[in-house]
This record gives sequence, C-alpha cells and structure tokens, in this order.
Amino acid sequence: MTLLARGLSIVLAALLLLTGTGSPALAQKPKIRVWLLRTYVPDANHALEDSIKRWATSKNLDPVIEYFTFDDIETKYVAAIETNALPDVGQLQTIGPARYRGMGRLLDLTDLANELVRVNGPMLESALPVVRAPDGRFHAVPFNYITDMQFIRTDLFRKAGAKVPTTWEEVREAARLIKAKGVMEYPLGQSWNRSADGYGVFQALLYSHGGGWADEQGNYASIVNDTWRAVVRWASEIYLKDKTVPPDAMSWTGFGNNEAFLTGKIAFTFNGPSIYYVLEKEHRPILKDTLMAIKPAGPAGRNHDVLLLSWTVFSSSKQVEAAKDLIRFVMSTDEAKKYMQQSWGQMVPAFERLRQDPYWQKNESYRAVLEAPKYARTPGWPGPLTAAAAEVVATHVLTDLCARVIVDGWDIEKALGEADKRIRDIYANVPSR
Amino acid sequence: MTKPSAWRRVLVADALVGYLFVLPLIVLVLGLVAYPLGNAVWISLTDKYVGYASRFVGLANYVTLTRDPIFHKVVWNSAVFTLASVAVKVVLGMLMALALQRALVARSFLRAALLVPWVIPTVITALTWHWMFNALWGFINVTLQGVGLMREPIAWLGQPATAMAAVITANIWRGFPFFGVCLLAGMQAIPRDLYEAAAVDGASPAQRFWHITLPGLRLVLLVTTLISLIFTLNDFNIVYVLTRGGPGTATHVLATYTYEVGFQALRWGKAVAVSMYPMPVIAVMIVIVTRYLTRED
Repeated sequence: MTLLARGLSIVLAALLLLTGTGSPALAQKPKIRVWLLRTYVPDANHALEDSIKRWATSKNLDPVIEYFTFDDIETKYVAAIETNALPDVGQLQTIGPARYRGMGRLLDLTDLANELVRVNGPMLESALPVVRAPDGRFHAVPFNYITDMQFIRTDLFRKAGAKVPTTWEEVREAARLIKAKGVMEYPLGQSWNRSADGYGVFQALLYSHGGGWADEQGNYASIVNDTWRAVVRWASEIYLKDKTVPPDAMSWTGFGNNEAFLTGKIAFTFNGPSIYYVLEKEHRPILKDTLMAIKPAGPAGRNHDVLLLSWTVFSSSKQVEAAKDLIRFVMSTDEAKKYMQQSWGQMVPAFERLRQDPYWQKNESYRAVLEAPKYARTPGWPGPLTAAAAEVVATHVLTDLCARVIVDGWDIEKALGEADKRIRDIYANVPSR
Repeated sequence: MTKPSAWRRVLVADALVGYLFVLPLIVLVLGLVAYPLGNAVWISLTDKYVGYASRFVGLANYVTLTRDPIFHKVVWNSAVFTLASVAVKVVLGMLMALALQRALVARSFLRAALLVPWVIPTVITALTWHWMFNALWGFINVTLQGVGLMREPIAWLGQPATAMAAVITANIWRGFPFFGVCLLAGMQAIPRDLYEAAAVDGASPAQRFWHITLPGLRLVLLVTTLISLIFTLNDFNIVYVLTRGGPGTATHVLATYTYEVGFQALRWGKAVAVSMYPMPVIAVMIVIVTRYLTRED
C-alpha cells in the first residue's frame, strides 16, 4: 500500500467513525432538545434534569438539555427564532406565550392542557391569561410560579414598633417609623430599576391602586390620570420625601436587594423567594427573624405582578408527540411533586391537587408563598396579556417613568406625558396578531 | 512570434494563480464583513420585528430616532463615556509607559502587574467595581466613612453624574494598560542617541519628553487612540453589569440601547438603526487608522 493510499484510508475510517455510519453500534439515538431555566435552586434544577433523563431513557431518546437564566431568556429565544434553531420543548417566562404564539412559533397544546387538568386538578385562574390565548386555545401549559413576596425582618420591625404592612401606605409608614426610631437609616429596599424587581413591584403597586394601561379588550388606555399620579407619587416619595430607600437603590441590578437584605442592610424588600432559599439552605442566623408575607393591598385590593414559568412545544419540532409526552411526564403528579419538594418552597404549582400537598404547610412563610399567586395579574391587566403589553414591561417604560421623577427631577406630569407617548407608540406599532 | 504569445500565457497563468491566492480572502471579506454589514444596513431600512417578515420602510427608523428623547440621551451618554474614558486612558497609559521605561527594579514584575486589569475578564472587572461603588457596603464608602472623611454614604451608582463617572472609571481601569503597552513599545523604538544628544545640549526631562518622546510616539498614539475610541464606543459589558444603563437612562449607551431595543423590544429594524448611527464616525476613524497602519514610512 502506498503512503497516499494508507493516508486516505485512515482519513476515511476517521470520517466514518465521526459520522457514525461505520458500525451499527455507533448509531445515535434520536435527539430531543429541551431548553430550561437555570433557577437559583440547584436542587430543583437537578431534580428536573433527572426527571427528563429518566423519561428519555425509557423512550430511547437522547435529551439535549440547555439552560438559560432570567437575564438571557429572551435573548436566547430571539436568536433562535431568527435562525430557526428553536428547541423541541422549552420553558417560557410570563410574557413568552403572548409574544411567540403571534409569530406562529408555538403549537396548540389545548388537549395537553385539558389532560393535565384531569390529572392534577384545575389550574389557578391567574395562570390562564398567561398560557391561554384570548381565543381559548392553549399554546403553553403552566409549570410553576416563582412568586414575588414581601420580605420582613421581624426583629427590626419589633424594635421599631412597626407592624407587618398589609397596604402600600403601611409600607411607607413602617419604613418611616423604622427610620425615625433610629433602628435603620434606609430600611426599605425598593428599586425602580431595569429588572423584574423594579417593573414587577411597580405593576403590583399600580394594579393594587386600580391602575393599568389597557382596557379589558387589551386596547391602550391613557395613563395620564389621577390613579397613575398617585402611584408615581408613592414610588417617588419613598426616595425624595421619606428618604427611606438606600441612596443607590435606583442603580441596583437584579440581585441588589437580595444582597442588601441578606447582609442585613435593609429591613424589608419585595423579591422572589430566592432570599428565603439562601437563608434556609445556608442556615443564616437571620432566618428566624425573616418572614415572607404576601405583598400589600391598595385601594383596589390585592392585584400583583406574576412570574409564571410554562412549558411549550415549538412548531418547528420534528418530534411533536415525544415533546408533548415529555411535558406530560414531568407534569405528572409524582414527578411534579418530586420537583416541588426539591425547590425549597420556591416553585409554586398552578394545579390544585399539587397545591394541596402538605409540603406547603411547613410554616407561615411557605403558606404565604402558596397563597400569593392567587393575586397575580398579567401585564396589561385588566386586559389580556398581549405582545404590546409584554413590550411595555420588557422595555422598562414603567420604571423609566419613576426614574424620570427621582433621578432626572422631572415633575410627575411631564414624566407621565413621556411614558404615555412611549406606550402609545408601542401599541400603535407592535404587530397585532 | 511564438515567444510573446508564450510569455503572455505565462502572465495570464500567473494572474490566475494570483487571483486564486486572494480568493479565500475575498470570500472571507465578502462573507464575514460585506454581507453582514450590507444585511445590517438593509435591516435598518425595514420594520423588522423578531419573528415576523420585514417590510421596507426607507429611513423611517432613522427619522424616528431623531425624535426619540431616550436616543438623544444615549448619544450624549455615549459621547461623554467614550471621550472621557479615552482621554484619561491616554494620560494614564503615557504615565504607565514612562514609569515602566524608567523602572530600575522589578521591571518585568511591574509590567505584568500593570497588565492585570487588561487581561482579566471584563465581567469580573465590572462586578468588582460594582461592589466597590456600593453605597452601603462598598469599599470606597466604607473606607471614607471609616477614616472619618464622610458621614453620609455617597450613592455613586445612584446619581446620574457619579454613575457616569463610575462606569468611566471602570472602563479606564480596564483599558489604560492597552495604551501603556503600546506606548512603551513605541518609546523603545525611539533611538537612544536622540535623548543623549538632547541631554548634552542641556534639555530638561520635560523638554526631552515634549520634543523627542511625544513626536516619536505620534503615530502609535494616534492609532492606539483611534482603536480605543472604537472599542470604547462599542463597550457593552461594563455599563450593562455595573448599572444596566441606570439610574433611569443616566448611563444608557449605544450598545446597551441597541440590546434593549433589539432583544427586549424585539424591534430589530430600529435596533440596527441605533447601532448604525455612529457608523460614519467609526468609518472615518477606521480609514484614518488604516491609512496610518499601511503607510510605508
């Protein structure tokens, strides 16, 4: 054999090995691509991954699991949509189904949703606007809520003689009292920043005051009115008048308030339950003095923001039935409970039978976390969650409004005028499907 | 008569081989530069919304941006961020190069140490500065309060002016070693006898710097400054990690605004138009850099 022939045969053999056509033993299993949120609870992430792998083994499939975080979830999906690289199955955040179903990227999962209701009981009313389109079809099914809570340092509240706030006005009163009693200079950790800690809490404040930017049909309704004035006044006066918020809170990123609470620099804040997870998991001393409570009510009652993760199957999937079966499996009662119990009270189910699990009766904080999603309202409330409403939240119009008053020194009327124009522009130009 | 014809054949064959050799480069330039750039220009002329087909809208995105108050703020912020950062980086880089050139001991160690800011990942740099600037537990405020120089904490990242100063500071810290290294290399290329002759003539160190070092570094300084201007204008990481463009829009720059419009608002046509606005300025800088880099003298 010449040197050239020998070289060629080696290259050919290597190519055969690489492409897997050399031997039946090397034949690959069909792949199924799954995109998951990497939550801040590794135990829960592992439990879900384990569940998916067990299912895949039983179906002789090779699961390709990829993760995104809260920060890059939209980035990853946007890139995948434009490059036709969407996975078979994926988790979506609250605004995902409304944004992507209009693009024709999500399959109709109405049958699967009905099936899960038969297995796990009815889903919470607050989940429906997220996963069900106005025409009644489901393009996603609920996975779990990650609910924003009110975190209270009970020891500091006691010291100041403040009570756990049940209304937004009581939030201000408690903060002023703690400051006045010299317990803490900046007790309230509330930022109007470019993260869910900002626009989420602003929605809770707004909806609890009966405000919104859309009517019940989902059309834009002007925000230049007294309700909005009152809400922006509340949001700005905690900085400008009460001075109860840490001075640099407006520039906090998503973990700023977590950090401040965990290091004992603030007495209360609004956040997903991740703070409690860290306290519990790491046996932090302030755990015994920390209470998770439902966020306050306003003049229009308790109407809060929502973070609901859901499952979807993308229309580009070549394995639609396998994809649906995967969701069916991980949402089966046993598997869903396994995941739930590894979540340290972070992941709240939307289905009634899962919600009745004794796991949630562990203590007052867990019970509050379970209760909170009942008050969840979607962006654009009282109208349906639309792509336009999602864009209002995603482009930080709500928190920029507060920043104009607090940071740039604008008066409320001028700031409202700018926000009104921005929202009008979004509603006028968003593709209306 | 056969001789010239054969000669021509050789010439044609040579030319073909020449074209063949440059073909990969042409393909690369067309595929990796011309096509993406052309496509970007095209997208900026459409109403492209993620997930939907695009429609040609001419210059509508550019016109809309001229009326967008946030875009005005972003352009101003980008100019302040870029010019202030690069100006200070030039000065610090020059000082670094002069110090390193004159260092008598531990020269290698000092060179390596001063390069650290440049080689560590930008995200680490930004997170470190984020912690240092924190109002309640950051290194700067805690130290100033500890030594009694300050009673009330300063919200470095919470006020527009100080937040901008903070992101500029972080950018300077990361970028000045680039200037230092380039200028040091330039200084070492200046003939020593010029300095010796100047010293013999009684020139002071300041005069030697002004009349020998600075003219000798003119080319390096220009190229380094222009490259740094381009990189700083396009910087995303430091601003995004430190402030996300906040408080409000106080530190929002072109890169972070492009990201917000493109990936959060899903309006790609407008986002690409945002990123296209500084293109004429960048193009002029690139032409200047290229001309100097390809000059034979």
